[in-house]
Amino acid sequence: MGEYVKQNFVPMILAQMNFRFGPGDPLREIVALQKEFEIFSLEHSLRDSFNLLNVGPQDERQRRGFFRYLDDLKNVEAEGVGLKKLDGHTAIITALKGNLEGKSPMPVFFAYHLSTRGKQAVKVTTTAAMEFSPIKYLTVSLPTLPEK
Amino acid sequence: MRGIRNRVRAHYSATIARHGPTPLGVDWQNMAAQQLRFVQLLRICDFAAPFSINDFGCGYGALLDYLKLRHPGAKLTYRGVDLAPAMITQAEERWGKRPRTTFAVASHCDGIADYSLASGVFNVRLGEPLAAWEAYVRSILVDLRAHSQIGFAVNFMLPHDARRTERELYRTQPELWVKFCHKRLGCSVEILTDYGLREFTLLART
Repeated sequence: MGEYVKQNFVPMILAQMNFRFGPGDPLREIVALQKEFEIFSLEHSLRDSFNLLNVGPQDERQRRGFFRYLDDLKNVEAEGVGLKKLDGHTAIITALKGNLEGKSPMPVFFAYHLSTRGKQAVKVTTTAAMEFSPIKYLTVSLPTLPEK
Repeated sequence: MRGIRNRVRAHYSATIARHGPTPLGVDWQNMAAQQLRFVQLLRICDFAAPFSINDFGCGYGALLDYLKLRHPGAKLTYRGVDLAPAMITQAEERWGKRPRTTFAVASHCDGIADYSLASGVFNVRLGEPLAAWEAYVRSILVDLRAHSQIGFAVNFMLPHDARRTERELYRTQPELWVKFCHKRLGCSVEILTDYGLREFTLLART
């Protein structure tokens, strides 16, 4: 993500995403928003969905970079149950939609991992993302490349 | 009451100056949650027939964005009222050419409509003493009742489960306001909860 957004904005973006999809009130809210507006749908881009949720840096240049990163996830692969044939962008939408519309929606934890160029993939798993907590999260790990 | 209104006006003039005509400019976190509130408030309205509406605390006219998106065929006469002149300037710039749409800087509704709505106008207490803020809430509810032929709808934030309400905010259980609207204003009251936000929407039919 650092290619698109200045390094010091990355933790803030992940914090925004993790807060918006966190356990308790935030999860209840995002589930209700999905039910009413189908925010995550193959008819909408992740850029539009996260913009609607006001997730992203307030700084206009960094915000554009973040949205460009989301768009470019169309060019990476995906790993996760039932997601392997999808591109990264479609896989995230599919996973979020399935989770939020499911019988027992889980909070979502967004993280990142280091990849090598040409082998980037979005990784979707179910984990206890917080080691101190038994709560299971749908974990979406976003690919990044090492800085040059 | 004038002091509270002045402080509310100053607060929202500052937010719209800082964030522009966006949900943050009216103290909402994002457009999706802002529109989810409109979904609940508009349950008071019968969209089968033309109607008129007072939008108290209209801000930059976000309700009209929602109506255009979700009820494009609705035949409604709209009057937006806000304490903050900067809000009305933005609303007029965005929606001034819409037919049957007017705006005014005012501290109360200034005409009778079928319905009146107010979204989020009770939430930011700005550290006012509770009794003074609740008197302010009552004055607005009385005004909405007086200017609504069929009914009005407002929303309130619910208290946290295990921590005190922030001094800057106003959170309440529904009972106080159900009783006020029923006994003092003579309305039939319906409460909407469980729509994903820590709040409730009060629908009052006259």
